[in-house]
Amino acid sequence: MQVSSCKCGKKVPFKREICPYCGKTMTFVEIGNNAEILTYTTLFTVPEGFDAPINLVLVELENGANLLCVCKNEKDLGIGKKGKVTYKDNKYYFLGNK
Amino acid sequence: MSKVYISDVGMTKFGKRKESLQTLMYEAYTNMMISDKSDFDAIFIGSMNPDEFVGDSNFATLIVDHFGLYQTPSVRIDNAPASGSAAFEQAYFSIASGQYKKVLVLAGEKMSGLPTSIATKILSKLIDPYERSTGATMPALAALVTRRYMHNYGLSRDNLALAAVKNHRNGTLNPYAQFQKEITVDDVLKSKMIADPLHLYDCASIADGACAAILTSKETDIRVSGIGHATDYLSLQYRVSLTSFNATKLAAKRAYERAHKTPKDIDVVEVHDAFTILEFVNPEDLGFFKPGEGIIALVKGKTGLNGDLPINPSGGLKARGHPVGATGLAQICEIVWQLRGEAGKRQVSADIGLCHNIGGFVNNNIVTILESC
Repeated sequence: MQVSSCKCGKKVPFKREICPYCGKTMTFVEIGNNAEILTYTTLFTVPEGFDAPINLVLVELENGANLLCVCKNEKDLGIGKKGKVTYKDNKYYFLGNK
Repeated sequence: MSKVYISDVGMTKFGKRKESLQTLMYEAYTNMMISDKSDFDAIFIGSMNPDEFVGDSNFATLIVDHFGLYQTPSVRIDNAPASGSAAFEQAYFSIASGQYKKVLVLAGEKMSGLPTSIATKILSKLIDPYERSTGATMPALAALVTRRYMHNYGLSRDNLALAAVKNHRNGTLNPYAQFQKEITVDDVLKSKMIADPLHLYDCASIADGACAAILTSKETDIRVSGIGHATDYLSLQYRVSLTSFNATKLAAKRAYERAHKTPKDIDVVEVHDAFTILEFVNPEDLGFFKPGEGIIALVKGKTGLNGDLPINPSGGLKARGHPVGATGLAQICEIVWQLRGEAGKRQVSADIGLCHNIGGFVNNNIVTILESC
């Protein structure tokens, strides 16, 4: 998967021109899609236009950037659980390792 | 810089209200006790989103018209749920600069007129566009923080609920509070699950309400000692910590420096407990407790009305209610009443008080320190 990277050492998801940490120009780089869950929730009260429940996980990608993902399988939820991130329909999804 | 004083404050009862937003603001204005409400150099109005919540734009002029304050300069300030304290901050600087001598601050929001799903969607616009595209809401982000805080510091689900229990108890003593009823830990845990592990009673309500204050260069018994303001990354993905927030830490540092105060000088505090976890994170970030130790202070009664450092004597956002744009000024109203000895049954002993108001998901925060003089 692709993230933006800055000379200051920070990486953030998606294409960004300006580093949110230091204001310098970022470059787009390819990194692996391995990720570990930092925290998670199951959301039952959702905004108009969404179907409940939604599992959300904030993961740390293997090269440093944090990313909010949807997680389809409740069994994959847990702080420290590892898995892979995929991109589909403008959203990132987390799938736990077997 | 000129010194800045508060001559009076007023507010409406918070809750589901039938009246229009301008009528609520006028009620808060007339609830101020002082008689001299003339000769305002300007009006600063804090309201987050009247455009979507009530369908009115150009709200600053609407207020001038409604109040009969023809020709007075008037501006509306949107700073997300920190709109009330942002309006107060700009009013403060207008007097500190020497340009204005007396200004009116109003703050309010009317949110209950819309179905919850639509209000939730409006509030979700405070979130980073990608994050909200996943379905994330403010409670969802708070739940992510809560889960990590519980993991890092061993905070139990029962102890998390104690924040709501304490603030509801304080709310029973506040006639302006939306909820004036005690709740138990069991009530919190049995309430509807919103975003696991947060239940309905962990979250501040959708409410209507308004507040007013008059700032002046003329000496009164309450001085605005200092205001600090800071921002953090919009996206939760960019935050350097999930259990501590730099926008609070830096706003507090700036407020303490400008007021020549330290956390030890503060006698009473109003913090932005939009979610129970923030009753612990905020006081830690404000320098009152070490990380993870907010719960110890609460369990020992330190933050109760009779404790060394009462937190949210008003009932906080949890019990007072959270009409987003009004909240920052409601905190200031409470601290003024506490410093003046006008807080009734919830009165604490205090000469110096601090208000902490959050904009967005803890990313545009304002800390205001007031003192008796």
